[in-house]
Amino acid sequence: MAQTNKGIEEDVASAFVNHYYHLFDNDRPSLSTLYNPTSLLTFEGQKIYGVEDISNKLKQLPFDQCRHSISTVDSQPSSIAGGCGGIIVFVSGSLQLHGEDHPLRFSQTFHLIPVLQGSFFVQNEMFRLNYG
Amino acid sequence: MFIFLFSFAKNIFNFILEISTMAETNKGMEEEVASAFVNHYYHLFDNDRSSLSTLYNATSLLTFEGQKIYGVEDISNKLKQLPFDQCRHSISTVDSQPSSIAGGCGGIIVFVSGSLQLHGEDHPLRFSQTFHLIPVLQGSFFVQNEMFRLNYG
Repeated sequence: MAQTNKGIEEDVASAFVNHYYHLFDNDRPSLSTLYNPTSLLTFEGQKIYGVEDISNKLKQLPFDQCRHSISTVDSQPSSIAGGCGGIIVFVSGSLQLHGEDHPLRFSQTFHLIPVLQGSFFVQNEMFRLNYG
Repeated sequence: MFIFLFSFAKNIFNFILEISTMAETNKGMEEEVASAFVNHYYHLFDNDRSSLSTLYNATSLLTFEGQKIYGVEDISNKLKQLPFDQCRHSISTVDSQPSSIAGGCGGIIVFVSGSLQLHGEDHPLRFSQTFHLIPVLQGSFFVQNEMFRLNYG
């Protein structure tokens, strides 16, 4: 049971992934609710620190409409024996930009840290396009 | 005289800006660790796969193409049983970040993408992989979390 107790991170990861990409595709400014001043984002190699700069970066991405399509979601508890409740989420999929002929493939890693009210914030995030 | 004072103040301002930027870029330490780890991991994988077991311990977790494997013994067995002998990784990108708030516990998340060529196959396969490294007392790191996915185009 100690081993299969890890099922909880799958539920959290699944809920988070749905929420994150829904916001990204439909209400990008609201993504800022997922970060705080200690959050780190590496976007195609560019390092961005803290909710303000991260929000600005996401707002300034050079497209309006985007549609993500998620292929895989993997998750694991980040602390030894699930101690601090952090969850690492590893996503792959594709994204379609409005007006572009072909979707772009991407991978993304999140590290979610729980907050008292039972939800999670994004402490770490790294995004990479996967070129074929 | 006035121009001199002005350019002096400007230099001080730039210096302060640089210092505060340095506090943020102090995160560079995890880049060195990540780089050293990535070189070591894929060198072992491609040349001495059984020695990968030295990187894991009893609490380590590996998710390999969706299959969850727990602990160094089962992980070592999985890696040994992969259905190929020769493999050559080619790394395209390595990103890293400290996993704890303000770098507290020293964990590092490493995010890798690249391709791997299996002996006898025509084309390389693209992959992405995420590691969570936790420091041990002697100054090295072990792999607490690892997730591997092939990226199909």
